[in-house]
Amino acid sequence: MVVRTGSGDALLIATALVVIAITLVGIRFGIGAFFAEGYDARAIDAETLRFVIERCLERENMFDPLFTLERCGLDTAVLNSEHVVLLHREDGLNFSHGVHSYATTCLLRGAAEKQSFPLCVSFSGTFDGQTVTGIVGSAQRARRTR
Amino acid sequence: MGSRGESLLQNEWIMILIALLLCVGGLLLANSYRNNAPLWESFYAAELARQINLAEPGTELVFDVTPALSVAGEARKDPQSLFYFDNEKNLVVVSLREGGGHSFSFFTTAEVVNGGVALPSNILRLRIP
Repeated sequence: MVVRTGSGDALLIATALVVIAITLVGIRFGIGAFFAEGYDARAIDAETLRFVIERCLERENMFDPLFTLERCGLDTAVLNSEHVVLLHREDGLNFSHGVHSYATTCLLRGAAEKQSFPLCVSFSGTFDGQTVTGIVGSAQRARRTR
Repeated sequence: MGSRGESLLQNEWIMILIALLLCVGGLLLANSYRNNAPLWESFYAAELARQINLAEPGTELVFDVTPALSVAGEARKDPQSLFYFDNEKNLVVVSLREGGGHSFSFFTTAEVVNGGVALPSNILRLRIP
């Protein structure tokens, strides 16, 4: 069987493909909107990290050049990927770990509402007689697995 | 043979086939979201990771996982296969449906011992040695 595909047929197929593409996008976003985009755990994750860092500050001198996060039972690989820890002590010493750019992106307007942006928590306290101010943040979202 | 009418008829069949495939695909996608399984998975993964992060060594964690079992029950999943803890990658993996799940990282170096889900109390027990 010979099928002749003239310009009219090509136009018909192109139109149909566009309609299919629009339908697919509609189904995807329709289901996404109806079933929500997932549980937003950034705030909980950042608050938990704040608690753990404060607990660490009470036990260890995080500003010691030889300090490692493992001493507080923290995994550096996980914290390097989707978290940030920035600490500043009143005597001018600093400690930082993770994705440093989060400190800026957290401040962007609308960042709190968008799950693709990190969410930060700031805190301050007195540890070992020195005032420490800090920012911790998380951009972690639950990931799909197969 | 090869007339324009025949070509159009063939196009129609292709369109019907594509429409059917779309319907099946849409139904499969919608089915995977039934009972908000992905939402429950991400919720449990994040909450379990949070409790693991907060736990001190020697802690036993106890969770009522009744909603998770209810969602997984419709997919006829084994209750003991719903929660998995990867201590190498620091991951909590929750799967309440066939062919998928959600994972969340815990940032502490805790080694999680999964005590399994006790039935019929629907209690998940974890131990942080």
